[in-house]
Amino acid sequence: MESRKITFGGKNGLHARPISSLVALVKSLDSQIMISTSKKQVKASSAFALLSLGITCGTELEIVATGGEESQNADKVVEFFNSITE
Amino acid sequence: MAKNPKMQTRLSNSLTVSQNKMILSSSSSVAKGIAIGKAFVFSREHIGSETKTEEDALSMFRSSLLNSHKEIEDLAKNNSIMEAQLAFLEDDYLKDTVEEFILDGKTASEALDLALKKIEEELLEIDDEYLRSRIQDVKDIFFRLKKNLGDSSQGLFQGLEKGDVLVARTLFPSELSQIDLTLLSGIVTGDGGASSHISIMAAGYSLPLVVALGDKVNEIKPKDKLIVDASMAKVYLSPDVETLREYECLLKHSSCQDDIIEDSINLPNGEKVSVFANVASLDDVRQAMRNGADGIGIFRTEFLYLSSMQAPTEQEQFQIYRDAVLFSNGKPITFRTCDIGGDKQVPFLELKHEDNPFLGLRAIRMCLRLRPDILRTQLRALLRASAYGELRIMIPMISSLDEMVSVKNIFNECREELRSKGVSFAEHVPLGMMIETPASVFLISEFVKISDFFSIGTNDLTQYILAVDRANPDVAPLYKQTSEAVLSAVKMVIGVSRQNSVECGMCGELAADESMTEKLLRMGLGEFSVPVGMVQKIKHRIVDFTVNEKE
Repeated sequence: MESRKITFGGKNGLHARPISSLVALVKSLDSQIMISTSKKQVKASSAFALLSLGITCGTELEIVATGGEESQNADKVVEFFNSITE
Repeated sequence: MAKNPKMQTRLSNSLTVSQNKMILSSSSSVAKGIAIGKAFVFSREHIGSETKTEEDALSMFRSSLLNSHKEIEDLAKNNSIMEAQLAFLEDDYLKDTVEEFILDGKTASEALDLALKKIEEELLEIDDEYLRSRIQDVKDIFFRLKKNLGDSSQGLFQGLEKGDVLVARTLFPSELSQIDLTLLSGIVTGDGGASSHISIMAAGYSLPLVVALGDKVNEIKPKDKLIVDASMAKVYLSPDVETLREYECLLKHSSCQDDIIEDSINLPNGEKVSVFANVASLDDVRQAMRNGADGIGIFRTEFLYLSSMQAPTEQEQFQIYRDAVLFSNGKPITFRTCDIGGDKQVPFLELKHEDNPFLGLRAIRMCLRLRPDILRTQLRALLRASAYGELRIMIPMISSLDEMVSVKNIFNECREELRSKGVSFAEHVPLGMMIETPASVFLISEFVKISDFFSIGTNDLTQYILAVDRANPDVAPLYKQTSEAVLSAVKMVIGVSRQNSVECGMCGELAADESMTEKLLRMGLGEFSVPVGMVQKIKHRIVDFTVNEKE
């Protein structure tokens, strides 16, 4: 299990379009990815679950990768989140 | 003797038995051409059984999921918002939630409602307002799922295969609109009544159509081999080898289509002429684009009203209009607001019986006098769809300046309403009108000041100018769109529009009359709007004209 903590920086929050890109990324990885906020933890492969997290600019996130290339995959997800600025 | 040639031929309708098992002939063929295929005999009997099993509900939902996926994939080619919807549609959470309700004993439709409610409640807990507003996308997905559920739940056309000839005693436009018409090779009906809409739809797909076969249609059994010769108004039932070979040969010959002209055409004088398509459904729009139309000249919206038991909601309409705009691949699309009432009765309106429906409370008159809310809902839905492409709005049956001014005021109020809610729409959405009443022709020099564009609807205009009811066989021969009276009205409208630089098109049958193309071009018509199946024919006539002119 690998875990990373980041602060989300996208101005408009994690909305439908970045969610769909994230889901596509997560499905291509060989680890199970969980994302949690202070309120709840969800599977990053579910678009509805991600939307329900209500991630906005400044939300603190924890990314947890289990199985497969855990460390590498967790980094990829972090990299994705950091690339979202809008 | 018989003054009406139509009546005369009807008497001679006969059922000829020859070497072919049977030849069924009728006086009425509308769309021309030949089709060879096996019969799909349509009946309403096997439907209506509401005792659906759990398995039925599951398979209905899954096929809706598949169809919706295909649709959104298509739409996503032109729009990234639609692409994002795929991730939600593919989410197992959606599938599991709906299926759980089905396994709980709910119908597919109920399960969708309950699942949407559940997901909506979860999303309402989100703190951020912008993200919360994404619930609209989710609703959009569920609307689509439900719509596609409707298609398969009817099961009216279960077992229909590609290339079949649709055979029916009677057929309603709302039923025909439930299938992909590109699957059919031809249509045969017993009834002649209510055929005008069917014939418009058939013509749109170049489907050979023979109507008014009467009881003879009962002779046709499922899977019978048929030849439909619409040009001769004949149907061959189980034809012999020789006849079949003959027709196969003809069919091969006629399907050698000319090259498809994709672009609009430049005349020798430098002016551009466009050929648009007349459509009445999303499938039509896709077919029009495949046929190289320069855009959609008239998207008839009646089907939304005729097929439902209540007025379609803004969201339902928005989704269909938006999809139509996206399917148009960046080409312009003109929506006509609902032309209901009069002879097109809508159950939920509960309109009074009229002795003269064509002169009565129909189209914009009904909207302004009886149900402005219907017009407002439609205008808001159209404005919202304008954010996705080049969209124009056209008002039917205008017969006074006051009416157009009232519509413009309502239109502006709808814009303000959307603006105040922060809903996006295109800054400039042209608002135009049909020219189909003699009054609008006489007032054309005034209308150029308040209408952004015109489209001459020659079907109704002819009937009003000539005072002929085309549905009455005793006077039907008097109905001629090419009559001098109609042509002089057309000439006047085109002339005044050109002088005032207001775009003017034509969407009636006259525009699709190949023998009139040259005459209309000489009058200065710049936009022809024709049935989908006629787009290329008219484009070729226009090219012929330009070639001849250059010589």
